[in-house]
Amino acid sequence: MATVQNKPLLTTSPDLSAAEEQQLNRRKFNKKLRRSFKAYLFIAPAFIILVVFHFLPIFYAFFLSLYKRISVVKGIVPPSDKFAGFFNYQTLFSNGEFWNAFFNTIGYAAGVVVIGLLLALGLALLLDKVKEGRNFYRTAFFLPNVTSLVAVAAVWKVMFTSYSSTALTKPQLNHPGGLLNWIFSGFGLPMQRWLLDERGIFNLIFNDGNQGARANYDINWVATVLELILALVIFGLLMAIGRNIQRPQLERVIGGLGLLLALPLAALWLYLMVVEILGFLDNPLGSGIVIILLLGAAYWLYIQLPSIRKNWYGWASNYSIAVGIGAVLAVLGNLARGGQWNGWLSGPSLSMFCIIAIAIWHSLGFNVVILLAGLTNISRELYEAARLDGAQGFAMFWRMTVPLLSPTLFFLLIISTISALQSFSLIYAIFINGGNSTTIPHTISVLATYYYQAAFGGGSDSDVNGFGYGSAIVIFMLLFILSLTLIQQNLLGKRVNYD
Amino acid sequence: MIESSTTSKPIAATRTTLIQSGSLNRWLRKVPLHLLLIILLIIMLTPFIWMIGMSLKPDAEATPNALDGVNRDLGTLTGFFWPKGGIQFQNYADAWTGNFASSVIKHDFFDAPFTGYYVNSLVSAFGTVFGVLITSTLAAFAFARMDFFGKNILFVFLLATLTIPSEATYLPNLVIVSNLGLTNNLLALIVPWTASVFSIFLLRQFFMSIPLELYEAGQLDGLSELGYLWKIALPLSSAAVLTSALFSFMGSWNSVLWPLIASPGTPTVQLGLKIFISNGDTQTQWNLLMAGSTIAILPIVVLYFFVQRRFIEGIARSGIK
Repeated sequence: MATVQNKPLLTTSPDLSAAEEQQLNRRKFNKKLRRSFKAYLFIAPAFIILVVFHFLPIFYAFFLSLYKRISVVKGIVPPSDKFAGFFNYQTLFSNGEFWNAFFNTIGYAAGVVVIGLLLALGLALLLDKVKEGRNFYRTAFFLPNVTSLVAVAAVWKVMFTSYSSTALTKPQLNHPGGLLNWIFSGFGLPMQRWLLDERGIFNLIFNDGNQGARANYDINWVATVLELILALVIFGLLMAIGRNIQRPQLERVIGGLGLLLALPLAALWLYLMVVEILGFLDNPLGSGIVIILLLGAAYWLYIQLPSIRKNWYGWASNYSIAVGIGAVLAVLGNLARGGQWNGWLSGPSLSMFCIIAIAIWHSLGFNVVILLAGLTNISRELYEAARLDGAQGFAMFWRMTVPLLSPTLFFLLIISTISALQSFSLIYAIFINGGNSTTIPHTISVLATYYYQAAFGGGSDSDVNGFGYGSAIVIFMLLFILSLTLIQQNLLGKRVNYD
Repeated sequence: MIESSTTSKPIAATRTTLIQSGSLNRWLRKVPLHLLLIILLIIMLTPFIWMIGMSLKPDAEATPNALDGVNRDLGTLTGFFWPKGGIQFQNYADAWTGNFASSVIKHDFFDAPFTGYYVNSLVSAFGTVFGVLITSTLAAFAFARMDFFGKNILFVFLLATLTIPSEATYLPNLVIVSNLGLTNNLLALIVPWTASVFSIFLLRQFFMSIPLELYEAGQLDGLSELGYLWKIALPLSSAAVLTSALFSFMGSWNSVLWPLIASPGTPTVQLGLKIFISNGDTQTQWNLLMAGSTIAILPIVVLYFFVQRRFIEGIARSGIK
């Protein structure tokens, strides 16, 4: 901008002598130098704070990480007899607790970023269709983001309360505890111990939380494998054919065939669902939900009626694909019940899952606001052009919206990864009870809480606490976050569509 | 999907002319979308509804076993979220003063714990906002309108500081702050956070969108850079100023780890709330627990509602290049 302003000075006419030109250049240089000093005065306050409290501390943290068993530093240099070279890093990398915290952090970040961004994208796409009241929705969805995690953690902790009396070890129907268990029991679902449950969620879903596979669960292997093969064949066939056939005549045949194959499967599926729902209907909440879902489906079908009439074979093949996916999922779920869901396979613990859910709830509004801004930025003409070219529904979303939104998505990906990797407050507020007596469950401990416990939790009397060890942890975190950002930039940055 | 059904109008014309025509139809088509959004919104806001409802309940309705044996139907759902035995605003006073049912010593307003937490938090939050606005405005103006040596390098430096996890700076900063003799002093909560890269970027973006002619006209009239900033640039970028102010306020008000490390002797509202939560009495008096949480988030929510429109515009603009 400022160069534009300098333009009149820069225009040198050809008849100037070399000396004059040199003088002019020197004048220009001096002027810029004088302006520079002024500019430096303007940026000085911000830069002094940034350099002193944000930039230099990194190098100082590295310096501190070379000392062991220090907790209070008088002056800047710790006593020289505490110097230990790279001893802290050696301890760090051979410490099981650290690696546990590291992998928990990765799981947490992956959950928060991936699920959080997908949900935010869905919500932003919905909000993009709304004209009246969009501001109201945006403001309301953003609200959780401005509230503090400590207060929010208190609320969620009460909602997740799993039993009403300390004498109980399991939630019971007449002692549901907080809101979540009340809703679960209202729907006839098994009540959970939520934040207190350290068992993996796959273990809970597929094995009712038993440590091993269910002892007397018989699987009809032959039938299951046949079911799976059948479902995969239908699904794959229809996917392949539905996508590639251009001739409507043949597509019509395939659509009819798919309908014939898929109908019995769908009937069986529907029958099973009805049986399930009949049990579900016993309580008014359950029947209310079912009625709302049925009404919604009926309304949607009514809206789609003209399009179904026009292109029934396309609908039939899509419908068969949906049935195929449902059958595959049903069979896989059936198979999963016989598996061993121990250790890594049992997935994140239920308590970690709850933490991830709260974190997503808290950050959703921010992601939605940014994505919505990105969506409104895509010009309507482009959409119109694509629609005239025949793009519809999912193809439109995948080939138009996603590429055009990719800079925004990428920005959010990096921002939310960085903040997820260093999240602390939520776990602190829920699991650390007063003072420094730290009680973080094994499956919840993340790098930031591990760092807090090590550096500030209990003095400096062992090799795995104190300022030196804590600094080693943050230096590791720093390098990890930096390299992850660089990797994201190299892998995804090239696919991002800036224009 | 809307387009496809309106273009294929002739097919169903005879039966649905009435519905398909005019604004009624358009309005009807919007209903499910709004219904869905409102359901999602209610799910999103459930914790707040629950929090406020619970904070107004009498003691008997706000214990963990208050729900034992109730019928699980829609009728009890409202009673679940809203006090049946009369609204009790006294809970807020009790939470503020920390007067639990079992407390022996009763506090009054001025020696109440939350009064101290509030003073500490407000002083550090306003101090931070003040500092951030000054440093960011000056730096943003320099990057937007001035030409100087090393501008690009310094800008890249700013970008790089964004990727530094703040945890990494806490321990060194603690050493710096304690060597300056600032531990357990509110200055320790203010000074390190009086520069914000986010605010610099945001203000710079707004300053650059102000027509250059205004700046040049000001210079011709003998207006200094500071005069231009104060009289022209800042009033025209009020959205950015509000956004950075609220962001700094939020950052200061909601921060936990740094106050916990640097200044446990002057507890802010978040630390106070944590102390309040850890109190055993809150396990049985959920109404006071929720009242305390409401007290802790109230200022920020009120501020947010006052500036929400421009604040959200500011955030939305920060995401777009």
